[in-house]
Amino acid sequence: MIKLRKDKVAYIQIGIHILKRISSGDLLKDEPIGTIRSLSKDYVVTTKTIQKAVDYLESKKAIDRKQSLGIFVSVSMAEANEILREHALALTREYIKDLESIGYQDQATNLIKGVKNND
Amino acid sequence: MIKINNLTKKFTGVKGIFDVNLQLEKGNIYGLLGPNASGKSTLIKSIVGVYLPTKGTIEVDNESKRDIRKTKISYMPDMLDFPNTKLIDIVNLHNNLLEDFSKVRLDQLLAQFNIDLSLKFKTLSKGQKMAFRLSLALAREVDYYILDEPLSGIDPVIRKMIITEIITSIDTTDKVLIISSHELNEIDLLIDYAILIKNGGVEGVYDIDEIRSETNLFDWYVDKFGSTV
Repeated sequence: MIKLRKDKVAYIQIGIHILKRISSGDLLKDEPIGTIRSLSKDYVVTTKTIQKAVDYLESKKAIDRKQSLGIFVSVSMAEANEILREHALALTREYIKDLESIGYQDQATNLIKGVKNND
Repeated sequence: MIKINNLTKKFTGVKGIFDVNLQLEKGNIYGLLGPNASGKSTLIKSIVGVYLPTKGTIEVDNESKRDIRKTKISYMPDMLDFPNTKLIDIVNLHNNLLEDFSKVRLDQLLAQFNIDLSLKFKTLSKGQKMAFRLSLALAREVDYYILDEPLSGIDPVIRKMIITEIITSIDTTDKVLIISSHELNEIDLLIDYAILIKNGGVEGVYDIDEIRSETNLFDWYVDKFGSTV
């Protein structure tokens, strides 16, 4: 379903992938996203990893777990987008911190532009 | 739960395992990792009852009797050969001997691996032999599965299929799976915890997410064992 990176925690990658599916309209609000077991098969990861991904999405209030019925989307496309944006901001803050730690203050924007232009 | 208390297995002149303590809880898949001859297979054979411990106990659901362990655990040994035998005869034997054997699940697994039951075991490729032995183990409906080196010595495509079948054929939500392997780049998504075996003892039990939040399993392992391999 997605190629998971080996040097990153799997459950967050899966959680983000599900959020992307919601924000793109592939999964709609109040729609079921499957069960722990079915998601484990879909992503070919352990049920424990899926449980953690579901916990993560629940902590972001993006899904609802309904006893015996399964797991349902509880946010709109726009709300899912907002959660993704927060995640992107957190990644950016990490990135800026990393840059600052090697002496590059306030240069993130220029560095990104430079890399993009070279590509 | 599998509870191992002060387990020691000594052999004359050969390395064994010494004073192993482990608690393996349902809902988790454990990778048993460690260098060759570190004691992984000895530990596995002791848990499933092939070896009698020199000292210590092994409890499965609070039962320590060896016969009970054998019925509760489905075990895929690292080597198993069926000379000149037809697959269908091996399957029928399992079906007749094991109450928990699911012929339906076996047929599903063999269909995935494209293995025809009318064949003889010796005519299968190395990868097919592994897939067949794995299917026999996964076709049992039990709470505990121990797979000794299910990815060893076979080509990448079948390794990938085997990983997929382990995940998809059984619901591990309330089961314990123990898988020994050296294929760290492939096993990393298949396990929740890494049990490191070193010099006949448990060096530690590590949450795979703690490893992956720092690095990947392969680099982590080489770091851990770099000086001893």
